[in-house]
Amino acid sequence: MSFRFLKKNLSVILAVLLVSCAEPKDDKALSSQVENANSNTRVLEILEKAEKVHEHAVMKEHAWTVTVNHIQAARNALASGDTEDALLSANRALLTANASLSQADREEKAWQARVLKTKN
Amino acid sequence: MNKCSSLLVTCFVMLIAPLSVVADPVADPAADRKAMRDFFEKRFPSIELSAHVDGAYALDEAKREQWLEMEDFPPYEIAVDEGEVLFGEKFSNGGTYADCFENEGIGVKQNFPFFDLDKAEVVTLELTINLCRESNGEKALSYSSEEMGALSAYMAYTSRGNTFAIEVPPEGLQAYEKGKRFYYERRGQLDFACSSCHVDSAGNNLRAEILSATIGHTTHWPTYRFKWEAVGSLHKRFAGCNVQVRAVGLAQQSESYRNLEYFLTYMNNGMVLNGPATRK
Repeated sequence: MSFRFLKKNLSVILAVLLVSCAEPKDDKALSSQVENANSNTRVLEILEKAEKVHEHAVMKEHAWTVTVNHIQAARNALASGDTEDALLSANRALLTANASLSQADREEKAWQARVLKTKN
Repeated sequence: MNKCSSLLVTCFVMLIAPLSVVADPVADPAADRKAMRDFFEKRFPSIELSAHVDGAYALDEAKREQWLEMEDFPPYEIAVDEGEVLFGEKFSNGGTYADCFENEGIGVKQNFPFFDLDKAEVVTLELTINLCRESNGEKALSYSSEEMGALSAYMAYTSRGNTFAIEVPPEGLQAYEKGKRFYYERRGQLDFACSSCHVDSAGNNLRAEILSATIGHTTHWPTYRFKWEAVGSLHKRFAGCNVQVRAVGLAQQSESYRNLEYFLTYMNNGMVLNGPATRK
């Protein structure tokens, strides 16, 4: 009786076993997708900050070409799904954008010391 | 107590505010020019100041020899010829470029740039060419175009040998000062000012090239550069320099580049116009 029951419902039992085994894998895939989405959001947040600072530097005529390159590299990496590389480039973009703005602020006064002056 | 502290603040503001105004630098173009000339006379005692119109070729005999050989068959000659033809063509309304310039545009480049009192801004030769076109119902030329290069090359050619005598009226002092500031401000990831190369390091080597002196920088434009394989403008060179220090370059004929040209050309006063020229 029990053997006949097993034989009759073998496919169902196998399916249940498969599903129960597969559940942890689905969890991993799901958590990986969530992680990726979080990383993408983080990259986009950093990029937005970098672009804002860069635009400010552009207005002050102190923008750096490397910032433009890093922003582009981050966008390209994001588009190709390389979140790790995108994050690296976005952080570099933010770093150089901040440095360019610091330079602009410093040069507000610093340039005056370089002007040639007639010695009496 | 409150009254006492507000009185103190008022006194402080009244005393400090005028001081901060006084502390701002007062533009003195004549003094700047004298300082610049003195500096390069001292730095290159064996070179006449007037020789700096040839840039780096004034500083190295061997390079000068090579450059003079190139001048036997100058690559800008075609642009000058084309410019002459373009300059003579009539606009669709019958007007000409000659109508827009003093002395019909012949031998006038040494008067540019100047501070236009009506527009309250610095006006360059290239800008005037485009203003002329627009006032005659034509489209403005791109500042990177061959036509613009040719027209300005021809106008420079007809002005050869004329002496710069740029004036800075009181109304133009701010623009002059802005141009000076741009020249001395460090920018780009390499943190270089124009003056880092062309004042502090003038005469030194940068890779295989010799850095020219600030003085004489604007006498020979437009210039045929082998790197560009074309005649190009001073502003194109400004942008190139900015990019070389990893700064984002500005647009040709932007206000800042016009102010920079104003400052630099004032430094050239008394020097002879020798454009168009050839450079690497």
